[in-house]
Amino acid sequence: MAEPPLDLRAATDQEVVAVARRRDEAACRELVRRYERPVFSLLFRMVRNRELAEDLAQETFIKVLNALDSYRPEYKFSSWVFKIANNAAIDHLRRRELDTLSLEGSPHADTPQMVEATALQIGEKAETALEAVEHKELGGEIELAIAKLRPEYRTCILLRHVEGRAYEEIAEILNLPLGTVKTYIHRARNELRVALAHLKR
Amino acid sequence: MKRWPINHLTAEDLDAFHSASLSAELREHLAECEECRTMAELDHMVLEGLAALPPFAPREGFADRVLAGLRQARPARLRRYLPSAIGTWGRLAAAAVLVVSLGASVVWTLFNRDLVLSWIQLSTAEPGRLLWLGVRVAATNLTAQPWYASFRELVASPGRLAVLVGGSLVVYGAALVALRRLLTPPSRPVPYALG
Repeated sequence: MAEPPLDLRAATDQEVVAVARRRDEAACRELVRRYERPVFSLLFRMVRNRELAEDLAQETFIKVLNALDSYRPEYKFSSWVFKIANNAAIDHLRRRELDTLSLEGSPHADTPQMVEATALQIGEKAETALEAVEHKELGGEIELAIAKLRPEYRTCILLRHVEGRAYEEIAEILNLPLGTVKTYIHRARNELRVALAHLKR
Repeated sequence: MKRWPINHLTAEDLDAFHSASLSAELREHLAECEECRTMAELDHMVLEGLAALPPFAPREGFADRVLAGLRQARPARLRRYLPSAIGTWGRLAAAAVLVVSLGASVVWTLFNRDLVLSWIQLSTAEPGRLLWLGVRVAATNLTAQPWYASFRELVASPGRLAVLVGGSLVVYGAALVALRRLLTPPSRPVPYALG
Protein backbone atom coordinates (compact mmCIF):
# COMPACT_ATOMS: atom_id res chain seq x y z
CA MET A 1 0.00 0.00 0.00
CA ALA A 2 1.31 3.45 -0.91
CA GLU A 3 2.31 5.80 1.92
CA PRO A 4 -0.07 8.74 2.45
CA PRO A 5 1.49 12.02 1.25
CA LEU A 6 3.25 13.99 3.97
CA ASP A 7 1.56 17.18 5.15
CA LEU A 8 4.57 19.41 4.51
CA ARG A 9 3.27 22.38 6.47
CA ALA A 10 2.84 20.26 9.60
CA ALA A 11 5.96 18.14 9.14
CA THR A 12 9.20 18.68 11.05
CA ASP A 13 12.28 20.05 9.29
CA GLN A 14 13.84 16.59 9.23
CA GLU A 15 10.77 15.07 7.59
CA VAL A 16 10.64 17.79 4.95
CA VAL A 17 14.37 17.40 4.31
CA ALA A 18 13.91 13.65 3.80
CA VAL A 19 11.32 14.35 1.09
CA ALA A 20 13.34 17.22 -0.43
CA ARG A 21 16.30 14.85 -0.81
CA ARG A 22 14.22 12.98 -3.39
CA ARG A 23 14.19 16.22 -5.44
CA ASP A 24 10.58 16.90 -4.48
CA GLU A 25 9.83 20.48 -5.54
CA ALA A 26 7.06 21.02 -2.99
CA ALA A 27 9.38 19.98 -0.15
CA CYS A 28 12.18 22.25 -1.42
CA ARG A 29 9.67 25.10 -1.66
CA GLU A 30 8.52 24.41 1.90
CA LEU A 31 12.10 24.60 3.22
CA VAL A 32 12.59 27.94 1.45
CA ARG A 33 9.25 29.20 2.79
CA ARG A 34 10.23 28.31 6.37
CA TYR A 35 13.60 30.03 6.34
CA GLU A 36 13.44 32.77 3.71
CA ARG A 37 12.49 35.50 6.20
CA PRO A 38 14.98 34.71 8.99
CA VAL A 39 17.80 34.09 6.51
CA PHE A 40 17.01 37.19 4.48
CA SER A 41 16.65 39.33 7.63
CA LEU A 42 20.02 38.15 8.94
CA LEU A 43 21.71 38.78 5.60
CA PHE A 44 20.04 42.16 5.10
CA ARG A 45 21.17 43.31 8.54
CA MET A 46 24.65 41.95 7.84
CA VAL A 47 25.28 43.48 4.41
CA ARG A 48 22.84 46.43 4.63
CA ASN A 49 21.84 46.18 0.96
CA ARG A 50 18.56 44.68 -0.19
CA GLU A 51 19.60 43.47 -3.65
CA LEU A 52 22.80 41.98 -2.33
CA ALA A 53 21.03 40.34 0.62
CA GLU A 54 18.57 38.77 -1.78
CA ASP A 55 21.38 37.47 -4.00
CA LEU A 56 23.15 36.03 -0.98
CA ALA A 57 19.90 34.49 0.31
CA GLN A 58 19.29 32.90 -3.08
CA GLU A 59 22.87 31.60 -3.16
CA THR A 60 22.38 30.23 0.37
CA PHE A 61 19.21 28.31 -0.50
CA ILE A 62 20.64 26.92 -3.74
CA LYS A 63 23.66 25.67 -1.77
CA VAL A 64 21.40 24.23 0.92
CA LEU A 65 19.10 22.41 -1.52
CA ASN A 66 21.99 21.14 -3.63
CA ALA A 67 23.82 19.82 -0.58
CA LEU A 68 20.88 18.17 1.19
CA ASP A 69 22.54 14.78 0.75
CA SER A 70 25.48 15.94 2.85
CA TYR A 71 23.26 17.33 5.65
CA ARG A 72 23.53 15.25 8.82
CA PRO A 73 20.14 14.94 10.54
CA GLU A 74 21.68 14.83 14.03
CA TYR A 75 22.24 18.59 13.70
CA LYS A 76 19.46 21.15 13.64
CA PHE A 77 18.51 22.01 10.09
CA SER A 78 18.10 25.68 11.01
CA SER A 79 21.68 25.79 12.36
CA TRP A 80 22.96 24.37 9.09
CA VAL A 81 21.02 26.91 7.02
CA PHE A 82 22.19 29.84 9.18
CA LYS A 83 25.77 28.58 9.01
CA ILE A 84 25.69 28.63 5.20
CA ALA A 85 24.01 32.06 5.19
CA ASN A 86 26.52 33.51 7.65
CA ASN A 87 29.44 32.14 5.64
CA ALA A 88 28.00 33.77 2.52
CA ALA A 89 27.70 37.13 4.34
CA ILE A 90 31.16 36.99 5.90
CA ASP A 91 32.73 35.95 2.58
CA HIS A 92 31.04 38.90 0.93
CA LEU A 93 32.12 41.35 3.64
CA ARG A 94 35.70 40.11 3.38
CA ARG A 95 35.68 40.47 -0.39
CA ARG A 96 34.06 43.87 -0.45
CA GLU A 97 35.77 45.19 2.69
CA LEU A 98 34.46 48.68 3.40
CA ASP A 99 32.11 48.91 0.45
CA THR A 100 29.34 47.91 2.83
CA LEU A 101 26.71 50.59 3.03
CA SER A 102 25.31 51.97 6.21
CA LEU A 103 22.19 53.76 7.25
CA GLU A 104 24.20 56.95 6.95
CA GLY A 105 25.73 56.19 3.57
CA SER A 106 29.05 54.71 2.56
CA PRO A 107 31.96 55.44 4.90
CA HIS A 108 33.86 56.53 1.80
CA ALA A 109 31.29 59.16 0.87
CA ASP A 110 32.87 62.56 1.40
CA THR A 111 30.31 64.85 -0.20
CA PRO A 112 26.63 65.28 0.74
CA GLN A 113 25.68 64.00 -2.74
CA MET A 114 27.69 60.83 -2.27
CA VAL A 115 26.26 60.32 1.21
CA GLU A 116 22.77 60.63 -0.24
CA ALA A 117 23.56 58.36 -3.18
CA THR A 118 25.02 55.64 -1.01
CA ALA A 119 22.57 55.86 1.89
CA LEU A 120 21.02 52.51 2.73
CA GLN A 121 17.90 51.53 0.86
CA ILE A 122 16.16 51.38 4.21
CA GLY A 123 13.08 53.54 3.78
CA GLU A 124 13.70 53.94 0.05
CA LYS A 125 11.86 50.75 -0.77
CA ALA A 126 8.15 50.62 -0.21
CA GLU A 127 8.31 47.97 2.48
CA THR A 128 5.83 48.15 5.28
CA ALA A 129 8.03 46.51 7.91
CA LEU A 130 10.95 48.72 6.99
CA GLU A 131 8.86 51.87 7.15
CA ALA A 132 7.55 50.76 10.48
CA VAL A 133 11.11 50.48 11.76
CA GLU A 134 11.93 53.93 10.46
CA HIS A 135 9.00 55.37 12.29
CA LYS A 136 9.79 53.75 15.58
CA GLU A 137 12.58 55.65 17.27
CA LEU A 138 13.98 52.72 19.23
CA GLY A 139 13.77 50.33 16.27
CA GLY A 140 15.55 52.77 13.95
CA GLU A 141 18.21 53.57 16.54
CA ILE A 142 18.82 49.87 17.17
CA GLU A 143 19.13 49.16 13.44
CA LEU A 144 21.68 51.97 13.22
CA ALA A 145 23.59 50.72 16.28
CA ILE A 146 23.61 47.13 14.95
CA ALA A 147 25.03 48.38 11.65
CA LYS A 148 27.95 49.86 13.57
CA LEU A 149 28.85 46.61 15.33
CA ARG A 150 31.69 44.40 14.14
CA PRO A 151 30.28 41.70 11.79
CA GLU A 152 31.02 38.87 14.21
CA TYR A 153 29.26 40.72 17.07
CA ARG A 154 26.40 41.58 14.71
CA THR A 155 25.81 37.95 13.70
CA CYS A 156 25.92 36.81 17.32
CA ILE A 157 23.51 39.45 18.62
CA LEU A 158 21.10 38.96 15.71
CA LEU A 159 21.05 35.19 16.10
CA ARG A 160 20.65 35.40 19.87
CA HIS A 161 18.23 38.26 20.44
CA VAL A 162 16.42 38.63 17.11
CA GLU A 163 16.25 35.00 15.97
CA GLY A 164 16.15 33.65 19.52
CA ARG A 165 18.83 30.98 19.01
CA ALA A 166 20.52 29.35 22.02
CA TYR A 167 24.16 30.16 22.82
CA GLU A 168 25.13 26.55 22.01
CA GLU A 169 23.42 26.69 18.63
CA ILE A 170 25.14 29.99 17.77
CA ALA A 171 28.48 28.44 18.70
CA GLU A 172 27.69 25.58 16.30
CA ILE A 173 26.56 27.93 13.53
CA LEU A 174 29.61 30.15 13.79
CA ASN A 175 32.12 27.40 14.62
CA LEU A 176 33.18 29.32 17.71
CA PRO A 177 33.76 28.21 21.30
CA LEU A 178 30.75 28.78 23.54
CA GLY A 179 32.71 31.23 25.73
CA THR A 180 33.63 33.34 22.71
CA VAL A 181 30.00 33.53 21.63
CA LYS A 182 28.93 34.67 25.11
CA THR A 183 31.71 37.26 25.17
CA TYR A 184 30.76 38.58 21.72
CA ILE A 185 27.10 38.86 22.72
CA HIS A 186 27.85 40.70 25.94
CA ARG A 187 30.27 43.05 24.21
CA ALA A 188 27.68 43.72 21.53
CA ARG A 189 25.09 44.44 24.22
CA ASN A 190 27.54 46.79 25.92
CA GLU A 191 28.04 48.68 22.67
CA LEU A 192 24.30 48.82 22.03
CA ARG A 193 23.70 50.13 25.58
CA VAL A 194 26.23 52.89 25.00
CA ALA A 195 24.73 53.72 21.60
CA LEU A 196 21.16 53.86 22.97
CA ALA A 197 21.90 55.50 26.31
CA HIS A 198 20.68 58.87 25.04
CA LEU A 199 17.18 57.47 24.51
CA LYS A 200 16.80 56.75 28.20
CA ARG A 201 17.65 60.19 29.43
CA MET B 1 27.65 39.14 52.74
CA LYS B 2 26.94 42.22 50.67
CA ARG B 3 28.61 42.35 47.25
CA TRP B 4 27.96 46.05 46.84
CA PRO B 5 29.90 48.29 46.32
CA ILE B 6 32.73 45.93 45.32
CA ASN B 7 30.97 43.69 42.79
CA HIS B 8 28.68 45.23 40.24
CA LEU B 9 26.44 43.15 38.01
CA THR B 10 28.27 40.83 35.63
CA ALA B 11 27.06 39.72 32.19
CA GLU B 12 25.66 36.53 33.75
CA ASP B 13 23.92 38.59 36.46
CA LEU B 14 22.29 40.66 33.72
CA ASP B 15 20.95 37.49 32.09
CA ALA B 16 19.67 36.40 35.48
CA PHE B 17 18.04 39.82 35.91
CA HIS B 18 16.17 39.42 32.61
CA SER B 19 15.03 35.91 33.44
CA ALA B 20 13.91 37.09 36.91
CA SER B 21 16.30 34.66 38.58
CA LEU B 22 18.60 37.23 40.16
CA SER B 23 19.67 36.29 43.67
CA ALA B 24 18.26 38.23 46.60
CA GLU B 25 21.72 39.58 47.35
CA LEU B 26 22.07 41.01 43.87
CA ARG B 27 18.52 42.36 43.89
CA GLU B 28 19.46 44.22 47.02
CA HIS B 29 22.60 45.50 45.33
CA LEU B 30 20.55 46.60 42.33
CA ALA B 31 18.19 48.57 44.55
CA GLU B 32 21.10 50.47 46.04
CA CYS B 33 23.51 50.86 43.10
CA GLU B 34 22.30 53.39 40.56
CA GLU B 35 25.02 52.51 38.06
CA CYS B 36 23.95 48.86 37.92
CA ARG B 37 20.27 49.78 37.88
CA THR B 38 20.78 52.07 34.89
CA MET B 39 22.81 49.39 33.13
CA ALA B 40 20.14 46.74 33.78
CA GLU B 41 17.35 49.04 32.60
CA LEU B 42 19.28 50.00 29.47
CA ASP B 43 20.04 46.36 28.79
CA HIS B 44 16.37 45.55 29.18
CA MET B 45 15.53 48.30 26.69
CA VAL B 46 18.11 46.96 24.23
CA LEU B 47 16.77 43.41 24.47
CA GLU B 48 13.19 44.58 24.09
CA GLY B 49 14.15 46.64 21.06
CA LEU B 50 16.02 43.71 19.50
CA ALA B 51 13.14 41.31 20.09
CA ALA B 52 10.73 43.80 18.50
CA LEU B 53 12.74 44.21 15.30
CA PRO B 54 10.55 43.12 12.40
CA PRO B 55 11.70 40.37 10.05
CA PHE B 56 12.45 41.47 6.51
CA ALA B 57 11.07 39.58 3.55
CA PRO B 58 12.67 39.13 0.15
CA ARG B 59 10.75 40.28 -2.91
CA GLU B 60 7.68 38.33 -4.00
CA GLY B 61 8.50 35.11 -5.85
CA PHE B 62 11.75 34.44 -3.98
CA ALA B 63 11.11 30.67 -3.75
CA ASP B 64 10.42 30.54 -7.50
CA ARG B 65 13.72 32.24 -8.21
CA VAL B 66 15.58 29.85 -5.90
CA LEU B 67 13.99 26.81 -7.56
CA ALA B 68 14.72 28.20 -11.02
CA GLY B 69 18.35 28.69 -9.98
CA LEU B 70 18.38 25.15 -8.64
CA ARG B 71 17.01 23.73 -11.90
CA GLN B 72 19.71 25.58 -13.82
CA ALA B 73 22.42 24.23 -11.57
CA ARG B 74 21.18 20.61 -11.40
CA PRO B 75 20.82 19.54 -15.04
CA ALA B 76 24.24 21.02 -15.79
CA ARG B 77 25.73 18.67 -13.19
CA LEU B 78 23.66 15.67 -14.23
CA ARG B 79 24.30 16.10 -17.97
CA ARG B 80 27.95 15.40 -17.36
CA TYR B 81 27.08 11.87 -16.29
CA LEU B 82 23.82 10.97 -18.00
CA PRO B 83 22.22 12.64 -21.01
CA SER B 84 18.59 13.36 -20.14
CA ALA B 85 17.45 12.22 -23.60
CA ILE B 86 18.24 8.60 -22.72
CA GLY B 87 15.19 6.95 -21.22
CA THR B 88 14.89 3.74 -19.22
CA TRP B 89 15.00 1.54 -22.34
CA GLY B 90 18.04 3.40 -23.61
CA ARG B 91 19.82 2.84 -20.29
CA LEU B 92 18.87 -0.84 -20.33
CA ALA B 93 20.18 -1.19 -23.89
CA ALA B 94 23.44 0.55 -22.91
CA ALA B 95 23.80 -1.80 -19.93
CA ALA B 96 23.12 -4.85 -22.16
CA VAL B 97 25.73 -3.72 -24.71
CA LEU B 98 28.23 -3.23 -21.87
CA VAL B 99 27.57 -6.71 -20.42
CA VAL B 100 27.78 -8.41 -23.85
CA SER B 101 31.02 -6.57 -24.70
CA LEU B 102 32.59 -7.52 -21.37
CA GLY B 103 31.57 -11.16 -21.79
CA ALA B 104 32.91 -11.27 -25.35
CA SER B 105 36.23 -9.75 -24.27
CA VAL B 106 36.60 -12.31 -21.45
CA VAL B 107 35.90 -15.22 -23.86
CA TRP B 108 38.31 -13.86 -26.46
CA THR B 109 41.03 -13.46 -23.80
CA LEU B 110 40.60 -17.07 -22.68
CA PHE B 111 41.05 -18.35 -26.23
CA ASN B 112 44.07 -16.09 -26.99
CA ARG B 113 46.07 -16.27 -23.78
CA ASP B 114 49.48 -16.53 -25.48
CA LEU B 115 48.88 -13.47 -27.59
CA VAL B 116 47.71 -11.45 -24.57
CA LEU B 117 50.73 -12.57 -22.53
CA SER B 118 53.13 -11.52 -25.31
CA TRP B 119 51.45 -8.08 -25.40
CA ILE B 120 51.82 -7.72 -21.65
CA GLN B 121 55.51 -8.72 -21.77
CA LEU B 122 56.16 -6.29 -24.60
CA SER B 123 54.36 -3.45 -22.85
CA THR B 124 56.24 -3.95 -19.56
CA ALA B 125 59.71 -4.82 -20.93
CA GLU B 126 60.03 -1.92 -23.36
CA PRO B 127 59.40 0.93 -20.87
CA GLY B 128 61.80 -0.72 -18.39
CA ARG B 129 64.52 -0.91 -21.03
CA LEU B 130 63.99 2.74 -22.02
CA LEU B 131 64.10 3.82 -18.36
CA TRP B 132 67.41 2.02 -17.77
CA LEU B 133 68.84 3.56 -20.94
CA GLY B 134 67.77 7.01 -19.74
CA VAL B 135 69.48 6.49 -16.36
CA ARG B 136 72.71 5.40 -18.06
CA VAL B 137 72.70 8.38 -20.42
CA ALA B 138 72.11 10.78 -17.51
CA ALA B 139 74.92 9.17 -15.46
CA THR B 140 77.35 9.33 -18.39
CA ASN B 141 76.52 12.98 -18.96
CA LEU B 142 77.05 13.75 -15.28
CA THR B 143 80.45 12.06 -15.04
CA ALA B 144 81.59 13.79 -18.24
CA GLN B 145 81.06 17.26 -16.73
CA PRO B 146 84.31 19.24 -16.05
CA TRP B 147 83.33 19.96 -12.43
CA TYR B 148 82.49 16.32 -11.60
CA ALA B 149 86.04 15.34 -10.48
CA SER B 150 86.38 18.24 -8.03
CA PHE B 151 82.85 17.65 -6.73
CA ARG B 152 83.62 13.97 -6.12
CA GLU B 153 86.80 14.94 -4.29
CA LEU B 154 84.80 17.38 -2.17
CA VAL B 155 82.25 14.76 -1.04
CA ALA B 156 84.79 11.96 -0.65
CA SER B 157 85.17 12.67 3.08
CA PRO B 158 82.10 11.78 5.22
CA GLY B 159 82.55 14.96 7.30
CA ARG B 160 82.47 17.24 4.27
CA LEU B 161 79.54 15.27 2.81
CA ALA B 162 77.59 15.74 6.06
CA VAL B 163 78.31 19.50 6.05
CA LEU B 164 77.25 19.75 2.41
CA VAL B 165 74.02 17.79 2.97
CA GLY B 166 73.25 19.79 6.14
CA GLY B 167 73.88 23.08 4.38
CA SER B 168 71.70 22.06 1.43
CA LEU B 169 68.86 21.10 3.77
CA VAL B 170 69.07 24.45 5.58
CA VAL B 171 68.99 26.35 2.27
CA TYR B 172 66.10 24.19 1.06
CA GLY B 173 64.13 24.79 4.28
CA ALA B 174 64.78 28.53 4.17
CA ALA B 175 63.64 28.63 0.54
CA LEU B 176 60.43 26.79 1.45
CA VAL B 177 59.70 29.26 4.27
CA ALA B 178 60.43 32.21 2.00
CA LEU B 179 58.20 30.80 -0.73
CA ARG B 180 55.37 30.21 1.73
CA ARG B 181 55.61 33.78 2.99
CA LEU B 182 55.65 35.10 -0.55
CA LEU B 183 52.60 33.08 -1.54
CA THR B 184 50.49 33.79 1.57
CA PRO B 185 48.11 36.70 0.98
CA PRO B 186 48.29 39.38 3.67
CA SER B 187 45.66 38.78 6.34
CA ARG B 188 43.05 41.45 6.67
CA PRO B 189 40.70 42.06 9.56
CA VAL B 190 37.00 41.44 8.96
CA PRO B 191 35.64 44.80 7.86
CA TYR B 192 33.23 46.79 9.92
CA ALA B 193 30.09 48.19 8.41
CA LEU B 194 31.05 51.69 9.29
CA GLY B 195 34.80 51.42 9.37
